[in-house]
Amino acid sequence: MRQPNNRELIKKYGVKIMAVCFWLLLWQLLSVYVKEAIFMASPVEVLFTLLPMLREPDFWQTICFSFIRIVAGFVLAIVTGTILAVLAYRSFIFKELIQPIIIIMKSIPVASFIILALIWIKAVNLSTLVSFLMVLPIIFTTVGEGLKSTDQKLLQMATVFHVGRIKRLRAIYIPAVLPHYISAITIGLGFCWKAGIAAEVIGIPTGSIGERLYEAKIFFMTKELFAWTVVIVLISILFEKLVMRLIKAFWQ
Amino acid sequence: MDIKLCKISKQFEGKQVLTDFDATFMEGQIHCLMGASGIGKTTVINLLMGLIKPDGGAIKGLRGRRIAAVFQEDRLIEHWDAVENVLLVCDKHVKKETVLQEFAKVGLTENMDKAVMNLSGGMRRRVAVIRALLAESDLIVMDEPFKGLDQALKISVVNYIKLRLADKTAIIVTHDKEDVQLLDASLITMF
Repeated sequence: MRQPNNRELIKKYGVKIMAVCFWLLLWQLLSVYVKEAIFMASPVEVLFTLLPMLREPDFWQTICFSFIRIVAGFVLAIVTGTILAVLAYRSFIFKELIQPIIIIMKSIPVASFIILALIWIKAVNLSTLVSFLMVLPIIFTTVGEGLKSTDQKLLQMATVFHVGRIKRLRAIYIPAVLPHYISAITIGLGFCWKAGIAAEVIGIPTGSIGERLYEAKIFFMTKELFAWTVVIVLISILFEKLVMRLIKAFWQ
Repeated sequence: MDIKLCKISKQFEGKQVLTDFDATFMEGQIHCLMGASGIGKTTVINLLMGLIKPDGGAIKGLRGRRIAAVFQEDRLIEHWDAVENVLLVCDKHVKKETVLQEFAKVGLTENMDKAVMNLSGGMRRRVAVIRALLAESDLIVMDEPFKGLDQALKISVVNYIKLRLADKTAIIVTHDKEDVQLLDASLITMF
């Protein structure tokens, strides 16, 4: 593939940076218009709230607490969703058996899940379960669609030539499923962070980002609320980039 | 052992394609299967490959055979290069160097490191032919293997097929009577 030259890079990233600057400026103007920091903290205020937080060990411990649990739910959902999708692709009966559960999982509101889950499990594990339940149907459905889109003529070719399972997977199945997988992971990542943090705000496990958000809300610490929200967005974006790089590195 | 198709019938979505079709493919010989378009040549090939089952009749002499094929479409892994496509179906002892040497025999010397989606129709066809001939097999079926090749290339591919087939049984679907002579094949015409 051709490497982009400097001009193209400047154009690509320049536009991205300008777009971010535009929204930051709009946010700043809005906060100036609102005037009251209790309703709308400005980006500058958020930055000055965030910077001292970065030096506190507590801050990083809180991030680790939520990150580990939410990502655990996400990884578990990817593994389980993929296995279930493969089983459903191979067995019509299994597909029919699992389909109603997946439909129910897709339809139940996140809040219902969280409240129900709180009855069954400890708040400390809530974000793992909720992130798992939110991502599982996305992975199941999308990987299933990818498997269905596998080129049947190539599979026939592989059957005639007695191509082994591993080779078949590498040559035919993975290329067919990978684009679906990437889109499922992108959507799933967004969902797992939203749902995971929502679960923490409701369950309030000690030492979680959700707990910090909850405290910021009840004590009207709007700047902290904005700062933690920025942190969540940044973690989510960075984690998505990392996962995408890993997928590409693994595939190439 | 000869391969015998006895009173084969097959229909697709209510349309009868084969009715009581009989044919014998003799062991170690090249056979050309000819007939008008839509007569059922590809259906016969698919039956031999086991991709479809006959509605009636029996196929004898196929048990235990390893089949290699050139399909009507090339059926290559589009994002892989030509060598990878061939190695996919070959046993472990077949090396990249061997494949490249075989490619050279049919004029495939350039762009072999590029994904096959970037190759011309004629190049792809030759890759598909070589894939079938290098795969471990004792029966080779080819559905219009010379499609998209000019006369000079066709002659070189025909010579290569004859050389590589040795004593294997081969069934080749073609529309051109000249191919029967070029391949020293026995002709089976479908009516």
